[in-house]
Amino acid sequence: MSAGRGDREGIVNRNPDAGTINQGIDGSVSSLWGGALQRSWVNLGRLGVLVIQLGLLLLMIRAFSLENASFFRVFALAAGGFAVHSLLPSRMRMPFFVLLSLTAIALVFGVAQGAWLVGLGMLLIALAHLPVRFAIRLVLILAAGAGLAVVRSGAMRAPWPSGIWPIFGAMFMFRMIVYLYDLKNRAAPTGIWRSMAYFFMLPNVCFTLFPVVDYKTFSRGYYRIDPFVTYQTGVNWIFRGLIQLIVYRAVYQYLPAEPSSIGSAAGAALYFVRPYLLYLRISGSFHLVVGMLHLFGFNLPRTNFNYLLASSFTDYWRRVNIYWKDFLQKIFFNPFYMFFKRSMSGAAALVLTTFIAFFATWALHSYQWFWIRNAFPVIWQDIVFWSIMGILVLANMILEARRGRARSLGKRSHSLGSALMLALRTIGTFLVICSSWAIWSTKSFGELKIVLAKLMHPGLKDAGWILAGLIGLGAAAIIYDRLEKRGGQEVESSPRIRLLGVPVPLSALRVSAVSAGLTFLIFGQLYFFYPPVVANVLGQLKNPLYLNARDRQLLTRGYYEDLADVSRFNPQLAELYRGRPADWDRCWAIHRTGGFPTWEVLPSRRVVFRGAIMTTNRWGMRDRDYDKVKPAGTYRFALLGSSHSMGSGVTDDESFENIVENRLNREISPRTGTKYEILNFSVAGFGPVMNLAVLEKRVLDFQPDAVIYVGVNEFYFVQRDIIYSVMGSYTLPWPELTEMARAGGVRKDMDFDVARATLEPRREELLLWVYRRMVEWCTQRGIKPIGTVLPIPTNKPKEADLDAQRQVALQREAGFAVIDLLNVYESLPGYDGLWIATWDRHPNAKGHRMLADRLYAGLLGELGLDASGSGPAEDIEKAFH
Amino acid sequence: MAPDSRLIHDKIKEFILRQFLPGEDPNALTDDTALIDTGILDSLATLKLITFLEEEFGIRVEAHEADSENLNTVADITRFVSSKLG
Repeated sequence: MSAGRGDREGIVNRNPDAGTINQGIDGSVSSLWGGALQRSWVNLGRLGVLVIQLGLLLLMIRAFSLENASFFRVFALAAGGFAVHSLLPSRMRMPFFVLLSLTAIALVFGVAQGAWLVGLGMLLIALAHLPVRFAIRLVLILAAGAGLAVVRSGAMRAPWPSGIWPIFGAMFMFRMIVYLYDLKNRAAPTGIWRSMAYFFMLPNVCFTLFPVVDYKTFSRGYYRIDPFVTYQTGVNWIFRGLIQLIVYRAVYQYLPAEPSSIGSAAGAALYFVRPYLLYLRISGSFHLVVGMLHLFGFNLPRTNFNYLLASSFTDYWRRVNIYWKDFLQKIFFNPFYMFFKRSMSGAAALVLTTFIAFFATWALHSYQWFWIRNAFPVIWQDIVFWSIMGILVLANMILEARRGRARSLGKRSHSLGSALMLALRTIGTFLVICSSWAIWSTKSFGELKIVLAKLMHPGLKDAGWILAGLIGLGAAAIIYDRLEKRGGQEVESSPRIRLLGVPVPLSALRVSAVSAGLTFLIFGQLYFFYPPVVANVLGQLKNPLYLNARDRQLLTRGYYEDLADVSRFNPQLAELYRGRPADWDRCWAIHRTGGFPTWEVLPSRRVVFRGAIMTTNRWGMRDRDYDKVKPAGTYRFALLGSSHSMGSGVTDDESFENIVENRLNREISPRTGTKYEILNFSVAGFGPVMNLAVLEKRVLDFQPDAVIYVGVNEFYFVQRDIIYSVMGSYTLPWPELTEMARAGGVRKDMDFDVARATLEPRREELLLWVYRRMVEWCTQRGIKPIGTVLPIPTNKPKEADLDAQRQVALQREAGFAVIDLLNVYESLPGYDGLWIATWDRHPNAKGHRMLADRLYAGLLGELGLDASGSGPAEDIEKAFH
Repeated sequence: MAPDSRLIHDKIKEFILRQFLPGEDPNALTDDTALIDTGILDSLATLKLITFLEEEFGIRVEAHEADSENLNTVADITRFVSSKLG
């Protein structure tokens, strides 16, 4: 066969600094241990430089909590494993890599779950190598895949834990296709270690979205060039990936995601750019993956290389995910094109094949979601996006086929004209791709229209900012084009300096300096005073549990609504949801009514809800049992609210309502001789409108002396319940509310988020209407109305605080006696310790205790008593009445 | 009768220069210049090259053969065509 095949088996030493360490993968040339290391301490120094860089990168991962929790451990394993691996004789390296990969699986899943994953995988690999005809093996693997798909869909129970599915899918869903293709065509050597290394490759256990590594490339690239160049390339790409992940967090936190929050044309422009920039998350993790594989000698193609600077659609396609492009070309494009070309013209074959390739891309994305998340989304945004991409790439290809593309063997002379053309092409490509991504990620065209309306009316300052951004992009395109032409980003052409006789590439110094600096910036907070602004920014960049405003809203809505597509463009939220048990938010003690309010608590149930025991009484309250008729000598409160006051995620005795009741009876009753009851009418998901219905329909039967209305996230709830009435989901008992929404521009056929944005200017008016009606209803019946708003224990920007403060002000304006609980958690340095789970920010037992303390004091304060409850008994009694 | 390797080599090189590198110095395109790895031959150009090889030399290129192992350099392509003819 070809000489290229010969290269595959040996090493092409392109680097003069490689000295005498020419290594062969088959042991034909002296290994590092056997030859070079004994003769040259220089190589040990070079290895030391790599290990130092990996150590600094490890610290940086720790400082910023980058990727998921298991990634740090797997990276530490990879860094330590690298040092050992590089010193091993070449014949032992592939088995050692497999051993490391299996250890990583055990580290992440545990031995038992990991054994299932590896066992199932080995079964598929074994089927691919059965000593029968290829067609029979293919049928067997398809049958096994179909069987696994049935189990994955939940139609059949499997003995293995469901937690392994996403990673099992990531390992086999595409790579098995490639593997079989290459097996059939005998394109690359196989063997047990090589096959296991290919499927179980070390970093995969941490990533569900993984580049489709080509088997032939994986095999051919193995120790193909100077190992130190390969290793340093890997370190550079890991570094690049980590930086991208930090930048991703900044994009995620600071670029506007909520159409209703956009106030200017510049904000609208950032909204359009944001979805495309969020791809940094994938790009960053792909860099990590490919970089880590380089540490073990696998020379794989660079991925997502400067994709933001693509100067045409074909250029974008070539840069953005070369692995996917190569996979499509190998499995779909080339075979179909060559088949069609034999029966039609080249142009017709090109058109047909391009559409097949993009259709396959769309279908395979859904196939991917099936294995990762057990969902097969067929969403119009996907179809529109891939159709646009297909058409653009095809048009570009036809253009290139006719006119040709500028290619060059070496340095080209750069004229001002050609540089300007490159900048303009880059800006144009960027704008079109940003628009496509914005369409792809949007929830509705209505949302886009709101943003476009803002974008179309820029002031002078906004126009200046937008222009400056575009000019900056064009300038970056020109600079990076020259760098690429000079090979300035390659390790091989990177300048070197000598430290203690060891040649150190400048890129190694850059990696070390920046990773050490960033790590110091984070940990330096422990020793030095940082201005609050800086500390807050660093806090948001380093903590993966910080959600942006939109995701906080979605997380809250996710408690009440089925947000099936939440993971498509909310990787941060998807990451949180990944740890959540499947039935976490299903409450078996709540059922739908078919009317309004739309659901209610079932009587006399004992269930587990959000990880805690929840008991309901015979009246359908999450509370202790009470007689319907108020006993003599009893002061009775009716407490209305949502999941927070229902005590979602805490046990029965831990809810703030029960704690306050206990304390009143323990500390106040002995003085007043009055028993105190707090009847909890709260229901998860109920906002002010639903609670108004509860107040008017149910509460009076229990003869309360006072009503405590506990609001939370009020603007969202009031808009939600009224919008759904306009949409015809139910009829509100107060038609004037529905009419107010219609008058505000909400229409039946509107998307929910667009309707919310439309109703935004009237939200205070609507909430005040509901509050006033509550107060009026209470005072007409001699019941004391007490109001409060609960803070949500999550990181929140100032505007969220302002919203809650406005809600308190509205309660006061409506006539509630207000107990202010908004700053109840402020003494704490952070809120992580107050959540019932990382994916659920309802307050835990500690949070409820803090709320109870403040509510109890507030009740007494509201009544003019001191906190010790030592006022005269008759004053207390009078005050409550 | 199969043409000799030199003839195959020259035809391939001439085609690549004419189609994809017009105006370039022929001496700059060596037998070992990487064509696919450097982006000179992208997917579309590769298909053009294959069409040329099939028509010029009367060979049939299979889909799985259209990769950098066979087509990355003029030397690779020459070897590939020779092995097909040979």
